[in-house]
Amino acid sequence: MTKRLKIVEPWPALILDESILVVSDLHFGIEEELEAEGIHVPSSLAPKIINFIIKPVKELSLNEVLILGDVKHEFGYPSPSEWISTKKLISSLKELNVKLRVVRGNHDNYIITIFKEFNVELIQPYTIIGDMTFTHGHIPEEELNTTNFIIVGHEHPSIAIRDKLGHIHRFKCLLYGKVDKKTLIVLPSLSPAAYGTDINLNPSSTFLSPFLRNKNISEMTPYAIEPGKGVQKFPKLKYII
Amino acid sequence: MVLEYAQKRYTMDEVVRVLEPELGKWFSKFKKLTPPQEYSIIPIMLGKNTLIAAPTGSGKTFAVFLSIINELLKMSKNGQLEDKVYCVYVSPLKALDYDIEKNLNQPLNEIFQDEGAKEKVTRIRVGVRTGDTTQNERTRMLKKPPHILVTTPESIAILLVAPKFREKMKSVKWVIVDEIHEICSSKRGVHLSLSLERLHYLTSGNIVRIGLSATIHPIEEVAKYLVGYNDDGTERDCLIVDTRFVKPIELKVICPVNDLVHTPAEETTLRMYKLIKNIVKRHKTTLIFTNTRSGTERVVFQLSKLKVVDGDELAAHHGSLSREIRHDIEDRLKHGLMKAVVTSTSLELGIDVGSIEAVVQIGSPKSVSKCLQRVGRSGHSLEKLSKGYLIPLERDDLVEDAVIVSEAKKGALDRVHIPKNCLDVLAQHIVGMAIEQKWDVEEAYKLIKRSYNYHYLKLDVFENVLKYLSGGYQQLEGHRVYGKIWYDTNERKFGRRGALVRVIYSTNIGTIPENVHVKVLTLNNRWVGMIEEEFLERLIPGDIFLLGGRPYEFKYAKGLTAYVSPAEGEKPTVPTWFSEMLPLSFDTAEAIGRFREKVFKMIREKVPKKEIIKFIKRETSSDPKACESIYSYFMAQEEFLKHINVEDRHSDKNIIVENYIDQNNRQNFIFHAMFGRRVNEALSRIYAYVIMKHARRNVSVTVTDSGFVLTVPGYIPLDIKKIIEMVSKENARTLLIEAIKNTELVRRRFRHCATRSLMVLRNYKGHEITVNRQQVSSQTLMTLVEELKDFPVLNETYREIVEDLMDVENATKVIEEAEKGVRKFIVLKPYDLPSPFSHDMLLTGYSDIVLMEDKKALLRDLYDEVISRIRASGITFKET
Repeated sequence: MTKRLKIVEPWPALILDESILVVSDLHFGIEEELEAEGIHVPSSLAPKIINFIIKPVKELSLNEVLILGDVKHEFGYPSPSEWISTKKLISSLKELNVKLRVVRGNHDNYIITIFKEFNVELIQPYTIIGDMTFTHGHIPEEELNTTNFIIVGHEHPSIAIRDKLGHIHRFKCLLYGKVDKKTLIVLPSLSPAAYGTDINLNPSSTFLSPFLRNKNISEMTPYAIEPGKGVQKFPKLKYII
Repeated sequence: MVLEYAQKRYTMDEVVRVLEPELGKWFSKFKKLTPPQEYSIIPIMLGKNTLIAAPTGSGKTFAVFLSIINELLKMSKNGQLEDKVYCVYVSPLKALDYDIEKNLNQPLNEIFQDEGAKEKVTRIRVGVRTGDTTQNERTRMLKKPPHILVTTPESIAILLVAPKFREKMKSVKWVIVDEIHEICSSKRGVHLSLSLERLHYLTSGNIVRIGLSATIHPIEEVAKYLVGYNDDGTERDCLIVDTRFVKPIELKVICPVNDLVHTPAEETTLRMYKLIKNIVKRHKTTLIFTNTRSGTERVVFQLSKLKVVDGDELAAHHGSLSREIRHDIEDRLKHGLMKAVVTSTSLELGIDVGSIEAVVQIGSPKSVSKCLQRVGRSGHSLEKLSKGYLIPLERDDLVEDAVIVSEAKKGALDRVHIPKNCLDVLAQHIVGMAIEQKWDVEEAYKLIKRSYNYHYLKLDVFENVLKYLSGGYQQLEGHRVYGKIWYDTNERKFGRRGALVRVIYSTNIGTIPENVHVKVLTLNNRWVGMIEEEFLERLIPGDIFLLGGRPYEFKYAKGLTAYVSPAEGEKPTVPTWFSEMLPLSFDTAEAIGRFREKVFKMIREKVPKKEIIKFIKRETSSDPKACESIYSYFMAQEEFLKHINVEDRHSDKNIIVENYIDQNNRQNFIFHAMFGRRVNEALSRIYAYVIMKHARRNVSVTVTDSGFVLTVPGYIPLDIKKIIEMVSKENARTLLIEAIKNTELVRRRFRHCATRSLMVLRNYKGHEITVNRQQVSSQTLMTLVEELKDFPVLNETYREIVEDLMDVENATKVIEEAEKGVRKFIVLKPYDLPSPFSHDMLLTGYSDIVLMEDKKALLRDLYDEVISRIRASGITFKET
């Protein structure tokens, strides 16, 4: 996309300066929330999510991973599976000698204990690398002192495209483009369970992220992503009905 | 001999002689026994399992209760009647339950008026127990249980785990299953079957089973369903009282216009209302069936506009109306105060509605059995004629109606499909059984196998369900371990786990899935109506669709609300979508195929028009306009086929496949497969899947009763003959399951199965989980369980779809017969016009899409589609 920032095909992830993997919204432990509601989840999403990180890290021999928040799902104290999945992710990266840094998301309460234990840096509310601001995206821009190039998560954008036959297909998507004179990148969620908002079907007043809500996003370019399979760049949102 | 047809007809005298004197005295006020009474009263008294098949109003329910009340009266007089339940009556309808209670209490009051004076005689009590029964009533019922318990399938399953009440049920001697023809073909019936086996176990095998059925076929299968199996694998005994055809019936097809092919729809509809008006005028009460609820409302609206009758004498009756309104209409029907009632399915069953003289069916009833069931609602007593008028509105309806009448005249009935080995229902019952007691795996398996629906269940499949219920598929470490039961694989025992399970079981029981309804509002929050969630999933902003006959433009959706703006005068851009349409049965469809063959044969042999019309009239009791319309429909098809030089004609053996290239340059393969919808649902997906594999494109599937259309975007050279040959009876089922993976259909059905299997709870810890939440979660779940080997809930989803919703069995038979050359596919050359027989099919919205497996290619295709759409809209666009 830019000289320094590229999509890691075919994953919902970015690579910065050919060395840092940037992902967002892992939502470990979503299964437990479902179980608490009486919905039995017989197997776990965590290995898949971890794989989405480890695979590109190994293939491209990267040395750092930056997560843009919401490592875990529960708002409260980490549940046992959130502990275990987070630890597993940390130790898998450690084995590969890969540094992990996490920008805190709105779900990441009490997680600092785990991170402290393993010397993982928890950044809040944002970090600036060069001219780029990395933040989760739940805190409005006005409250932050960002650069002109911002990378966020939080929204879990997806895109819905109708084919010739009338069928609507949904994909996770990454958004890239100018919003209010600044350049914005919105990463999709890494979790197979979190599909989120159809960015092209809903009025912008319904968006979750203060970076997108009530903003003119028609100049943004969506990249549809089928994790592990492929990435496709689409024309700017203003062209997509 | 285990299944035996009743031969002996008993006389009134013989019956009265064996009745208790009080009952005999009361009973002799009836002059004569009806046929089902002649055959069944005495055998039931003798304790025989009995299935009675007879039309509505033939006094079969009365026969059963007479026998049982007699036995209870005997016990009462001997001082043996305790505060226990002796007879359980189950029906699928609560309304029917309350009706039965009333109808029983009336004679009991009369009999015990005399008897009551004698002190030691206990009055026989009747009590209704449904989901509506209040806590107070339940407590009272426990203190003084009804001797005759009137209930629903769901309530029995709950009572079986009620610690105190189940004690009162140990004494049950008789179980009556009413409307068994309706119950047995659904998962509700499967559920009931296991409840009966559990009751059988509870009573140490002392129950007599009595089934009451309307017209059904094959009757022996239903008998086996009712009684189940002995442990040695033999069927339990059952006496069959077959009095299905004792009531005279008159069926007529009447066509609103001379030519259904060329008359505009508005005129046809207008004339139809005039026809109905005349019928309503001529009869005391007319019951009018439509095939959809929205149709019901529309018909009532139009009839009231025509001022056919006084406002009060006309009403709609369907499931969406409140119980009070429905009861009121039923009461007024019974008292002869209604002139016409319009209904979809809710008055098809059960409650006695007295004064109906004629039945009108708008559109096709889709099967002979359904037709007889509906028309059988008219002509109250056995001697009175049941009168049915079938009014077609479309060309295919017309032929269906005609053939249904012709088949009914021959006494041919459609075969019922009874689901087997349903693992979701099984899971529910295993939880219920575990609540009752600790079980040996083998002992529980033996109990399950007594049910007709599970007789051939494999032990390892049963054990997989135990594994699932005990949380054995769990992989997530540190995860709160799920488990409704504990299951010790070494000791081979299982039992209940945790105190919550009883509540979970009782509040989540049942088999009827909830559908997700989406509210439709205008942008200023004015109510427009409801659509189904599946329909919403197909809409994108800007689409125009019809709702309640009016066009609206879809703006956006928020949760379960869709916002629209009126689009008066605009043409809909997406077809209206119906999910719950009655499917045409395989047997009736085949009969239509044979009828097609006969008519085309006459046309080809140049038989004069007059003769052909005469034949149609004789075969199908159609009125002159209907005959004329059928003739011109066939002639139009004949002209088309002649024009493109095709020699073969449609029949039950010939499957003509058109290759119609539409204006958008899409190839539409139109299969004229006259096999009914369930078979076509299966065949269409199988061929679509093979085409998808070859063309590497998404293929859309449109399924109707008389065929299916497979649409491929863009022109791709395809040898459809070769594709047909790639399907064999060996690979059909596997291809079908591959085809339905990743479809909307599987996701929807998976939610139903997950809910029935207690994997997704509707009620948990006192709060209700919204259907929307269930839906969201089950999509996530789907992706997870797909990787588990032999996961029962997913396996059941596939089974339900291919066996119950679709008919893979008969589809495979069709394929096999094509391989043998008994049936023949005839593939036509590409052509830019569709034949007249395919018009109705092409007007139907697509049912599903068989998706490309190559996601990367799919993404590229979608990109191309977006670009071409941008270009088409005239925007200059530069690719970057």
